[in-house]
Amino acid sequence: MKTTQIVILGGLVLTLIGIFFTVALPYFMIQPPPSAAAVDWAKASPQVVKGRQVYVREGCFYCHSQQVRFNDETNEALRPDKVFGRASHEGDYVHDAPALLGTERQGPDLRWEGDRQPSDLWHYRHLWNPQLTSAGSIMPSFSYLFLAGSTDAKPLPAPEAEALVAYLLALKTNEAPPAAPGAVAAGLTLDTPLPAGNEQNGQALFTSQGCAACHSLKPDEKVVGPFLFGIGKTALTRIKAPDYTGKATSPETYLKESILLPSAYVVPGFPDAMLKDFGVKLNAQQLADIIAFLQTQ
Amino acid sequence: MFNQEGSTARRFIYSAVFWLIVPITYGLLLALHLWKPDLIFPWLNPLHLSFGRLRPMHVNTAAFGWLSMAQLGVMFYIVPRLTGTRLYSERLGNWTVVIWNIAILLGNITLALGMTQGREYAEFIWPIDIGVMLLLAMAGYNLFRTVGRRREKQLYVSLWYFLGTFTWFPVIYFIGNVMWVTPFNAPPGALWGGALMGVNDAIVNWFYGHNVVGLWFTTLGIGAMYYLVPKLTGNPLYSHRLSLIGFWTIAFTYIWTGTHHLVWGPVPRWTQMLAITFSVMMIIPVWTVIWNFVKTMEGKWNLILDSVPLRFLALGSITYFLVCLQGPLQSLRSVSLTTHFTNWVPGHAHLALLATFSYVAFAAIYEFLPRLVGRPVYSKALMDWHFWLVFIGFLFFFTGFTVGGLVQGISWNLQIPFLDVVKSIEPWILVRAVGAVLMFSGLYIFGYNVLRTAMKPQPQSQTTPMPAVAGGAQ
Repeated sequence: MKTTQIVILGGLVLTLIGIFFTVALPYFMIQPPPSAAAVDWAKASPQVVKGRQVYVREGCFYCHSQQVRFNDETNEALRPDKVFGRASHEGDYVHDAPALLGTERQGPDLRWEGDRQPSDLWHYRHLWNPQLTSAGSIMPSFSYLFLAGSTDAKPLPAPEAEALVAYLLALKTNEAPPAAPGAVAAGLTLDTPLPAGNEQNGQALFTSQGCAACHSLKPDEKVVGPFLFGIGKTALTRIKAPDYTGKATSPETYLKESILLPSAYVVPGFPDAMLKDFGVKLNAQQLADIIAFLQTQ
Repeated sequence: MFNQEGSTARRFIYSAVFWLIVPITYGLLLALHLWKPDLIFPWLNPLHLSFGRLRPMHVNTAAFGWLSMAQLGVMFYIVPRLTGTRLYSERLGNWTVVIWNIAILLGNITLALGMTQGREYAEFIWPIDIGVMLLLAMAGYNLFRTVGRRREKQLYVSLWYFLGTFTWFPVIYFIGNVMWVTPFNAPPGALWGGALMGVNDAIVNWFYGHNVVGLWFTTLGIGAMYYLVPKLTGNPLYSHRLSLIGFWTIAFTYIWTGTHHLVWGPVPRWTQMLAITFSVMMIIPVWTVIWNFVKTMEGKWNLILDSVPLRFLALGSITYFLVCLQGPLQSLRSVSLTTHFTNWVPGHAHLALLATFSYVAFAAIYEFLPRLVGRPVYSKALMDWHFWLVFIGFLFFFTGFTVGGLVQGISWNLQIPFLDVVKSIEPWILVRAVGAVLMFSGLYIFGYNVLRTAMKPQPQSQTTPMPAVAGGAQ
């Protein structure tokens, strides 16, 4: 055989062997049943499907992964990642084409974004101007998905932004929350004793932790969550109200409970949209500082 | 005009240099955005150009505009010299250049309009993929026919690499872009076709994303290096046998490694382990190549002081060694635990494409262009500026990516809040932006130098005639 034929045939055979083991074999072997999280796009609402197309078109997947890894050398069983939730597996993606697993995290993972941040208002504000909800974010504004006349106080989403947010909210496990009410994933609990708080530091934390994104300090200004003007006093009436579902006995414990366990009591008329991870994000001193600051409002 | 000897190689090189200036401009905008998020996109948002659209424009134009066209220009220069015959068809070659330029232009326009397959490295939409397959067929046909009528009996190793590349890459491109899924039969979500369902899509995506580097850029680049190292040093190749071991081992091992991009991810453990095993085996082909070059260079290292092409080539060999040490390392599960998802990984990608194989392309263009146009490079001083700006710029650039990536990975493993980590790597983003500016300047100088060389002959060129076009590697 001539050398050229050896090169061409040999190269082709080696390539096909590799393709057989790394592409064809997985293709026939990976046929997982769909998990509760898998959305069948052929049957989903047109808005959610459109949202996925916008997600692909705007290249969201370059900076946001949609895979939570096992991240534990010793335990491969599905286990929660303390930041992003349960590890994702093959069954979560069965209907996805393209599969938007992503390879980079310039921004956080979005696989369970619908569970982590279920408020559509939050997402509109974030897409309109990321700094409103996430100070220090490097995400560009997607203002071109909003209608003319949008402002920081009131972004007006165009249909494409609505579709995109509908898609983001559909990214959830659809499983019963593993933690019983009253349990905090890690870090601070209601029983953690707090040191004396510092109002000034608390004020700075109120901004840097993104509280201001959803809570106004002015009276009667509704953003995503309730306004916090006068919360030092209104807290007392809240815990005495008949519909109160929490366990707090004082304004201080009410604020502690609301920050660590936002679902313990949700003010009527508002979504249960507050992030549930402040018990991990904050240390005891920071929590005390924020509570001290809020009590002066 | 399309029949002139060497015109295919020359036009490929000119086009490549144009397509180098475009994506580095995109890249600079992206780097500056990551440093100061309010700096760039408020200006581009009215055009609906956000980060997520500019990034694939940057990657695809750099990879398929600049580097692919440069490497094909170099290949079409080398092949006639190693076969002792003219290129089979300069006319076909020139049409390949024309259509290739159209494909890259359409690729830029469609990506800017948000038309994408949504898969990294495989973003070009289905109609452009058809064009790419046509281009591969045209270039491959020209190559095979030229080799088929060669007068030089021995098939030098560079030709092995070129023939191998044009054998396997069309297969890889077709499968990797899932070309049988067209816009007409695509599932919802994959508007522009080219995607499988489920995690298999990610496996095929990374099969492609990895092999486009390993079995296109690498094998074309190594083929050029095997020609350039003996040519620039004047030494014969140290070992022909070693070069063949390198060829067969890269052809065997590289194709298996793609799934190492999904380590710890939602794909079966065995697919990950297979990829990691073969990633580590990549050390064999790489070290045979490097050892061959080191031995061939023996006694001639002092030449790099004077010769910018040889300097680029030596530096490219060193970064090739480094990038191929880094690759197997970061495929390991323990390392991936920290480096994956971070800036470390794009740092690695730039080390392979912007450093290693672009350096080889610079060396080749500086060496071949004078022979193609019949006059020396416009300015030797600018060649030096190009080298030093790129060399120093890349050090900053790579450090910013790599250290920033390590800070990200370690912080995430410690469960530090995401936005705090974003803020903490800002200094490293700045280091990288500084590197990007330095390199950008160097590459602009390169573009200017090539432009001036391409234009009318300079008066001084009469006094220093270049050696005539001569065939055959030593």
